[in-house]
Amino acid sequence: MLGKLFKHEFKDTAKVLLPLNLALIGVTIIGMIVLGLKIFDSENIAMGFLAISMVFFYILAIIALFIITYIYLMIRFYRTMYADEAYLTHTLPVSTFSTFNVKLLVSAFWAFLTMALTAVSVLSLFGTALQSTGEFASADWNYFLYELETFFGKPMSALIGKFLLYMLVSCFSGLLMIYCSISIGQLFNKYKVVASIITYVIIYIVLQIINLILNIHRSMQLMTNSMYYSYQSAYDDVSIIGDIFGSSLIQGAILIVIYYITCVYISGKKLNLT
Amino acid sequence: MSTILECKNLTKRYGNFAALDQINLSLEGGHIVGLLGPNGSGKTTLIKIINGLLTPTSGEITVHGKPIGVESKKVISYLPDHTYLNKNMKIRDIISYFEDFYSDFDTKRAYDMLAKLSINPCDKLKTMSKGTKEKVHLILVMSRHADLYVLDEPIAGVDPAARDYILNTILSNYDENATILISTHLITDIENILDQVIFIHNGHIRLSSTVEEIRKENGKSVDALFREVFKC
Repeated sequence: MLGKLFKHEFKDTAKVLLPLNLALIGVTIIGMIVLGLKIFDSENIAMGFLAISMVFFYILAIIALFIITYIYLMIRFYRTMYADEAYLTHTLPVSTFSTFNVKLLVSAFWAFLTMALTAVSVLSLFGTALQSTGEFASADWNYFLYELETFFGKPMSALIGKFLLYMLVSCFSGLLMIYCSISIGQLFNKYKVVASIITYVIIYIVLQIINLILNIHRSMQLMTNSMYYSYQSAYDDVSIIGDIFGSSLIQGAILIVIYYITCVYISGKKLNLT
Repeated sequence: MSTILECKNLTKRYGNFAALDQINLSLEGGHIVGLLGPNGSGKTTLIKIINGLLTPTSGEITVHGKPIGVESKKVISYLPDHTYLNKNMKIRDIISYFEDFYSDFDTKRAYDMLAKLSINPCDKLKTMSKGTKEKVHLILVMSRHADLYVLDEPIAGVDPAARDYILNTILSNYDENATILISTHLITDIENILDQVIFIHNGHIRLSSTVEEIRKENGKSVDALFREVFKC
């Protein structure tokens, strides 16, 4: 049954999210070709304006991609777990636990894919742009990576691994925060959507306050370092940012557990389809 | 016949309001049961609890002696009182969905019923009229070989010809050992097919009896008795 749930969840979500991600790949390839033509390296004002416009629309497209992906996943979760289509979801001979897990994993897959493709797209276009200007040779790139490893004191594979882990935790905690708010909203007898939005806002504000309290000392130190810049203070900054990074990973993991338990409990034990 | 559904002191409250209050009910196999009551009497609430869509506040409900869950959902075929399928799906995709999840789903029966009504399986649900959508929903539900069919207002809001089709489909597609629980307030239309009736009002069961007993003891039709019991 789990396999069938995955099959149908992927099939349904792919109808919307696959074309969006393919469009991103398409835009990246076209962008790389256009940048490779080296038409922007002249001092022509019109071409410069065109280049700036293209970058502007590219950034807008990336933002739109994320917004559409998350809004679609949010609406789909609400519709299939707590609105009209939930009548079918919850009458299938499958446990609510399995249904929720499949929805979460498939959503996280799409969110992660979108993030990863965006990162690859930005890096590819950035790399092509630098190469096309002729200001950045592969030796420079290798030097840049070496400097990065030396500065952070970690091999590139560890840095990439940490970045991927952070992306993964962000995917799950971001999605689960939305799903948890929707689930809590369903406990109300009336105005469930409004209750979900209010819940989300409350969780967001509480998290911001907690973050502020936890990181106030580190933020102050960063501000002090920025006023008296030196090579040593830059190293201190790396250490502080590393601490913030590590604590946000732990915080993300804790939140994932809390959101997950809340969602599973509400959808399994407190279902209230009115 | 063995007991399919049993409710003991089943209660559902919304704040201080009791939608169902201490319901005790037992349904055996092989009957067509009418769950009758005016709007807001608790019919849909009871049906949703049977299907695991609402959590009762207290009391117990079992299907074949087991609590509501995966096992009960395997044997209950449910028709909600509104469209519950993704309107962008094609009928054939919905059939394939049902086929994947319900081991008792009879694909051939579903396609035969669609063909009799000249409904194209390649059509999307959103392109269909309300009446056709209702028929498609019913075809999906009645294409299962379930032990308990729970139909919430299956004939509400459709024309008399469609009503006849729906009732005929129900009668000609259920197993004789299965039970059908039909909720409605359009009693005249379904009275002739019912074996048993349950009158529900303000969350309480007012009457649970066979149609034959009602006619014998009261000398009235179910419709006449309903009008008397629920007189405004």
